[in-house]
Amino acid sequence: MKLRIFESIKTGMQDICYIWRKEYVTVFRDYGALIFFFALPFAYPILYALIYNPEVVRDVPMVVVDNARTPLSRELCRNMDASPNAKIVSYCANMDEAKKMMYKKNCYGIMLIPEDFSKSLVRGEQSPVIFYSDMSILLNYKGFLMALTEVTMNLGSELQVAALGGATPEQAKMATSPIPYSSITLYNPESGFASFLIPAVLILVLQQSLILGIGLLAGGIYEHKKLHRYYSNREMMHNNIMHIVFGKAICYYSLYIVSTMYILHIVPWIFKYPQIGNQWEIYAFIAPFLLSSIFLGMTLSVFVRERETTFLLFVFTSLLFLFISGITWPRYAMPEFWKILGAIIPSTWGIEGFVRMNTAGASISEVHTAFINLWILTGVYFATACLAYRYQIWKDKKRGFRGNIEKNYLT
Amino acid sequence: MTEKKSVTKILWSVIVRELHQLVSRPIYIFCIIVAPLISYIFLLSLMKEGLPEEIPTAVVDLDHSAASRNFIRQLDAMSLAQVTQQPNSFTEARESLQKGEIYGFLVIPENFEAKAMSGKRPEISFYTNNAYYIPASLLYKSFKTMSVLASGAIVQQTLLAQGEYGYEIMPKLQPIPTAMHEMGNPWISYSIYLNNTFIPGMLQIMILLTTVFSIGTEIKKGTSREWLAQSHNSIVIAITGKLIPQTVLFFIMGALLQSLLYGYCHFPLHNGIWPMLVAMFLLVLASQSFGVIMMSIAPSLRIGLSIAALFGIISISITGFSFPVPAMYAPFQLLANIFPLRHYFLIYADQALNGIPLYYSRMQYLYLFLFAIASLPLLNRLKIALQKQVYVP
Repeated sequence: MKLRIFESIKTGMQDICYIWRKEYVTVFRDYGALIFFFALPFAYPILYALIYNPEVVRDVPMVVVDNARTPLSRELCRNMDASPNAKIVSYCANMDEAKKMMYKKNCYGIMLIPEDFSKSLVRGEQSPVIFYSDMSILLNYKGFLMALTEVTMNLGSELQVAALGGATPEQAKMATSPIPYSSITLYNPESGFASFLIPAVLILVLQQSLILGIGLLAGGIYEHKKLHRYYSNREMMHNNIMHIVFGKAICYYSLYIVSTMYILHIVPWIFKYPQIGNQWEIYAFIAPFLLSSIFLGMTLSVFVRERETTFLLFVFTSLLFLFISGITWPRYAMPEFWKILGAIIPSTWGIEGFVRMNTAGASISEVHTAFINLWILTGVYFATACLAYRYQIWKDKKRGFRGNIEKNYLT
Repeated sequence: MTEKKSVTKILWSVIVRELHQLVSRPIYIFCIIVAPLISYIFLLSLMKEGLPEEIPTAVVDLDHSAASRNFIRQLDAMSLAQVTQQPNSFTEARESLQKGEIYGFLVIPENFEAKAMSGKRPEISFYTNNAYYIPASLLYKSFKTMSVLASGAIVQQTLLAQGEYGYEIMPKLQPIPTAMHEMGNPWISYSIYLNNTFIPGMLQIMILLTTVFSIGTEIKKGTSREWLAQSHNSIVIAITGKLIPQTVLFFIMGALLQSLLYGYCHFPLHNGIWPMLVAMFLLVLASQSFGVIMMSIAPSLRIGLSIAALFGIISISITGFSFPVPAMYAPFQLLANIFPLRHYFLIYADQALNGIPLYYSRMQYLYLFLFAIASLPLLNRLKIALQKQVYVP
């Protein structure tokens, strides 16, 4: 009895390895699949990283309408120009001229200093500065807002100190900022755009290239009616679906070892993105992510009836998955429905875990929720993948189509 | 006269042929109607609040005084922040930050109240997790406002004690206040900012893919010669007849999107709907034209689709509404000009968001128009490929 169990495990393993080997042959004979599995993960991260590599926006052009024309107003302009975020490209005579500049996209902001700017200040009244910002690009607005706040606050404290008259530096500090503050931006110190977005894109590239590639292969099988190769003449295995799913998954997983190392280790290293996590823990974390992506891809491949429709079905989901992962719009603020939908996409947890580990230096135990969820997804999608294959084989058998079994598919 | 009539008849027959194809395959219905609709509903409902409010945050209160508790209450009362945790130490707070329970925290030092009262300037420090850009920026704003306000409260107390009048105090606290006018989007809504360009970008991807697929599939299925024959061997009629039904359908989807954006969601639309509808129409045409160009250059279905997917995905980044084009490297600044979505974005910013005279958008409309006709010189190349009818798997 015992021997029989060992025997069946042995034949099972052999069968899995058989499928695994066959799948290698299929993949390496298919240019389309090779492009998805190798060229895409290689090229996309580089292209994306190059677009966003400048990280921050500096010296956003703005113009000044200085109706006061006093030393103080000029000092305000000089300070604004000197701040890293803004750059004064012109001093306009009036608002109409400034507006024209903005229409022509020569500037994205207008600072208006009212006529009585200095007069009000010396009179001991509040003297507001007005700023008009273009809102088509929020990074520009953010830069203006920070520059304007800093500059007006500093100039204001200088005026406060001057008004004290003969105060010691300590007294001056006490009078202007009795409670000082310091701000520390963690994990992405310069608030770079690439450092924030690219880690998420990296994970997404892994998942989407897998889904697209598996879809492409499945489309080919469906189209050319090759599915029988997976069950005919293998009756002694009782056509065990699990063997097919396992064998294929091992094939894809092994192909992705190199791509994963390249994407998750080398790309952040080349572009000097924050990378403070333990690399081995990241690989351990990514294992269920890859597996669940593979099984998800196999499940979704049911819908692919033709090699090329994989593009039409899955390309646009990349952008949706990026949003649903909560890297831009935080997950807690999402409507409940999208939160649940996001929870069943591997990239949601993959991005969450990878960003925390790679960028924020968390250990694998600190991202255990994401890790466990990925294993759950792996289990669920494994089951759905089996069901999907079973359904397809059932349908294929029902159609009764059995083409000629090519020789190289029979060992 | 008779010849002209026959041309319209031929064209009509090609259109009918295409309509039959469109309804006979579910994949077309998915690409033209289902996928865009999913994108619309998803993105518009995802960000419907405009700004993520009540961002989870923590305060490490090392003082435990009336003043520090008051500070925490006030921070909690701000619309953007919500104090969900009060860890006992910096390390604990850092760990919850790494676990993702909070997006930032603030540390109130020991003897905060005593020091503040005696003029010893206790320092508040705050930490934001900038791996998450939007919540971190918003939290930074809240933390900073609270810190400045705390300083202000102390100065106000001191000045009142010194016998100053109430009206004298504000100018001393903040001599130069700022009046920031966020033109067109005073709510700083991310939905307005992103969806106006992002969703058309998604639509553009589907247009590119569908155009390439519908042409390439003729080569693949070996029906391209028949298609050309039906068009009396005129590639112009063949392409026009094939694309007109798609143009109409995609334009309807685009107009539906704009009615959702500007009608249902009441996003800013300063110059009326016509400039935007024209821009959408040109975007549809330009994208289809790019699809034709891709098939002309690489008349293989798979390669054409690869290029279309790459182009569509990249155009969302290179359009520069998230990261501005002038800040990119020079080659990308040049490259950005050949992306239709870039010009659609500029038209949207000018016409819908800012409402400036149409004159200033003339170049953008011209670009889109030129893109729309850019495929004409390449049509002959495509014709040869259609006649050869070679399918590369």
